[in-house]
Amino acid sequence: MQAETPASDLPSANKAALVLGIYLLDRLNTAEMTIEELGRSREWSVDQQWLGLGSSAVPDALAAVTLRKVEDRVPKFILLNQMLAATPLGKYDYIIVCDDDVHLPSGFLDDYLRVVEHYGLAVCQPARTHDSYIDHPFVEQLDGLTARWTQFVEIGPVFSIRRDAAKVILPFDERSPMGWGYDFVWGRDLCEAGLKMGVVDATPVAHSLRKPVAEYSWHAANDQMQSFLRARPHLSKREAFFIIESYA
Amino acid sequence: MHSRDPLGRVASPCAIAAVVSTYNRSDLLRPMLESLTRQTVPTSEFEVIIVDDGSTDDTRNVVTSFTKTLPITYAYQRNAGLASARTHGLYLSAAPILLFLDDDDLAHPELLKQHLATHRQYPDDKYAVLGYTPLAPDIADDPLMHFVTEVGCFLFSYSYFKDGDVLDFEHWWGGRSSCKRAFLIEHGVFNPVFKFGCEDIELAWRLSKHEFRVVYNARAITTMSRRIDFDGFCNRLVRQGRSNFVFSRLHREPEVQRWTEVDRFEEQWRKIEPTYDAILHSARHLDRIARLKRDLGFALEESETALLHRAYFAAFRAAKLRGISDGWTQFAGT
Repeated sequence: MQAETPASDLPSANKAALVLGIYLLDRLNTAEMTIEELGRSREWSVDQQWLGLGSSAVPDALAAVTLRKVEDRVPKFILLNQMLAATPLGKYDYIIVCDDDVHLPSGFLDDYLRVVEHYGLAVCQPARTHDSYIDHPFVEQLDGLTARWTQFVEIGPVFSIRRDAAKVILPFDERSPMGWGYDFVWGRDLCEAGLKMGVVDATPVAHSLRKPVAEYSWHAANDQMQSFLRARPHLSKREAFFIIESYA
Repeated sequence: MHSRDPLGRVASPCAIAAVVSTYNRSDLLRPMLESLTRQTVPTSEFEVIIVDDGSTDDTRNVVTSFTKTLPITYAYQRNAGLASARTHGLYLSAAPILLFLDDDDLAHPELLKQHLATHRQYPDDKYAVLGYTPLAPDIADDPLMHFVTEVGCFLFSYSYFKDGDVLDFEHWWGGRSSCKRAFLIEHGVFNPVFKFGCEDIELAWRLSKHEFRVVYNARAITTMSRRIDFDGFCNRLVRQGRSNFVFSRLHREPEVQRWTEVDRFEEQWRKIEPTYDAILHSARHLDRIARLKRDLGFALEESETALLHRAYFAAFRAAKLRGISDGWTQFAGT
């Protein structure tokens, strides 16, 4: 796929996206709403594959998109790798990885991918709304912008991977099975590959249902990230939190 | 300016970035940019980031006309306010020192050199620098501008500290202050809720939790070139008051309640509200007389000056309280 191809130039039959997600069966989540919203796309052929994590039964409303239930506490990116390995990816232009605790704006997928395509953002995320839990202020919505070309994309709650970028960042490096630290590695790797990353401010998602890292020890997460980053060339925060170009 | 590789990455950042947000003031922006062309610091050591906050005038053309003389980056955003524009600007630069400037000020040729010198003297990331902003000679004798800077201190108030003092969060005044980019990246950026007013002090308050300090350098000079008229200044204070109220709701600590003056506004506003229009009318009238006398070459007598200052003080105090009250009403209605 060409980096700067406007969505309108692509035949609609060729536009396919795969949504991968994991929802917590035993915790309050927004999976049903999220899956419904993503399935409303008019411009993309969307396949959704989700895993239910926990001991409760898979809700009927989610059964059709749920591949299986996982009762053991398996780290997120190990599960995502398993899902990716079991799925022929050739027909998909984009993979969207989505958490189960977000609120997406109406029309999200079409609006988001239209911007992603227009600006040629190979790995990208929607900005977080102002009322979200914010780990990195850099990804909070910048009012007045449509999108920005950056050197940083978070590992969640929502991010997209274009087909050519999949070759660079997949499979996920299981030395950091929860994904801590990927975001500082991706910026360097994508840049080396000549691919653009970005944040779409026009379609911010709310991430306010559950506090991130609440399920885990922050220190353990940080130790895991530092250990991972020692093994992989990466950007510092100062380098990563930088806008190469902004679009309004 | 930063040197960049073909993928846009910064290979070696310059030492300091002047970040200017602007909105429909191309006539003021041009002399401001001209003043930056006369810096004693070589252009290889600095860059200018212009964030156009949705201007509909010829701001873009004015900035473009400086691309050959200044290491300048222009970025446009739909109108979103000062805090968003400044955050946008700080992310556009990789320079370790960020100097936030107003579009209606003029930079002294040594401005960037002085900010850099103080940062070198205080290399710890927690130290920021406050520069000095006098009035331009053509507005220095304006009765209102003199009052708000030297007497009532509604705009700047440099009279109670001296060069080299290390000050607290209340002194990180937007438009004339610099800081380490790394400190913002680590501890916080401007809150986009603030469209005008408090965006600087509110951020500094959050940064103060991480030992943020402000060093005053009186030789880091920007000159205020724009005269603000009476009604313009009242409007400004109403907006400032609204922001004060928002600030006071975001942070309930006593220091913030005191700084925002929200802790005692209700009683004061209750007394002032019935006569608000009359207070402003009276001050506006005296302001006109003072200007007329000045224009005709007559000096104000001491008693007239005292009366004018009392009127200014009452009007500006009332305008700010009105803004706080507006904020409260809006808050109570949500």
